[in-house]
Amino acid sequence: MDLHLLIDNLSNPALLFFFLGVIAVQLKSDLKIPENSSKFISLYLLLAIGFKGGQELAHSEFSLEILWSLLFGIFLAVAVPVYAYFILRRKFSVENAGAIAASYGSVSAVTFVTAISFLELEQIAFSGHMVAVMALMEAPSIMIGLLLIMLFKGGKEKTNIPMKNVLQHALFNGSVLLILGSLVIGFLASEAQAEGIKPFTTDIFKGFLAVFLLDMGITSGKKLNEFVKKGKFALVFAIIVPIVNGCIVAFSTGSFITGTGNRLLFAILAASASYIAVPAAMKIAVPKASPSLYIPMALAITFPFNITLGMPLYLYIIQNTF
Amino acid sequence: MREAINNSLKRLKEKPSTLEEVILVIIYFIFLSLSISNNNLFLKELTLCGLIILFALMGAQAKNKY
Repeated sequence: MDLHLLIDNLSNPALLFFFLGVIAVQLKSDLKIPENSSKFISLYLLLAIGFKGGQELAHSEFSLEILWSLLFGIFLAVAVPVYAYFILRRKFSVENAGAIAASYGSVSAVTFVTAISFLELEQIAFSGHMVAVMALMEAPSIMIGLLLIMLFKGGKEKTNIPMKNVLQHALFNGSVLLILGSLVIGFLASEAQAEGIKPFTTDIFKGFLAVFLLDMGITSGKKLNEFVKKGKFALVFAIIVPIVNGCIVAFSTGSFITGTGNRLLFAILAASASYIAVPAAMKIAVPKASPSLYIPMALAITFPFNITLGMPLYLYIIQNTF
Repeated sequence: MREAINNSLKRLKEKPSTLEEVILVIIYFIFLSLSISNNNLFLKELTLCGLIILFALMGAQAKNKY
């Protein structure tokens, strides 16, 4: 791993604010971000990323690589939950295994945004269509997770999952709709019009990301305390799955994805786990699955790992292979 | 402060065994020991990751030579 990358990453103000949040919880400080502000900032980040992605997409020519990227994204969102489910079944119930598998197959928009900020810091280019890939990867893993639960939950306890509600939630939940909508708006807007809102979509982006990561740090710190009591299997799974997925994708994408930035974003998408969209869907569909298990795994373990050690490691692999 | 760290890292880079390689190997072995202490959970996948990292380390060495 390039130590310059690691130091650049670890001295990134946004990441340092994340650690400040974790430390604040350990010190039992009353520091907190108001819930409505936190919601607004997460909406802002999705809007800005979607809009910028749309603008990038408008400037790029349609190529086969865009199609391959979309297909590969869907493949990852289907394959990861399937293999994760069978490993998780060694220790967890069908419901918990299905919910955690769906979470690890889906993606974390905040990790994606942090990875984009990391790429900008290192002045590495990436394509706008990666935003569309991220948005596409949210829903399939939720469906696969639920399908696995339905398949393996036999006998009297057969689940009665409200598929219509779940489908509605998976495909049109606020974050997916906002990011896809912003992508389309960014694509349609002319350059002159986009320039008009550039101070909002670009200039203040990193500041808002820092505040959002502070909030994530506070939430992670709280969840971490609960999670430590849950045993070692979940902890090992939450650390090792991202490294396995990230390393394999960072290495294998060299044969069909061009551009270091795009390959890193794929690695981070494969390595990240959802802690917003999936829990919301699972709460409706599988109330027996324990949120105190799958949210801290994704938020308190996998997310910090990816944004500290994960990104420089995957970039090192990408830059030194193929 | 940051420049001083970066300069000292540059000096370290000129030495035959770089600190970054050592750190990478240490981190990998931490993961490996985590896996082994948990009934070899993900051991095969971690071995595959180890091969990928080794491949990347060799690629970096080859780049430094030329």
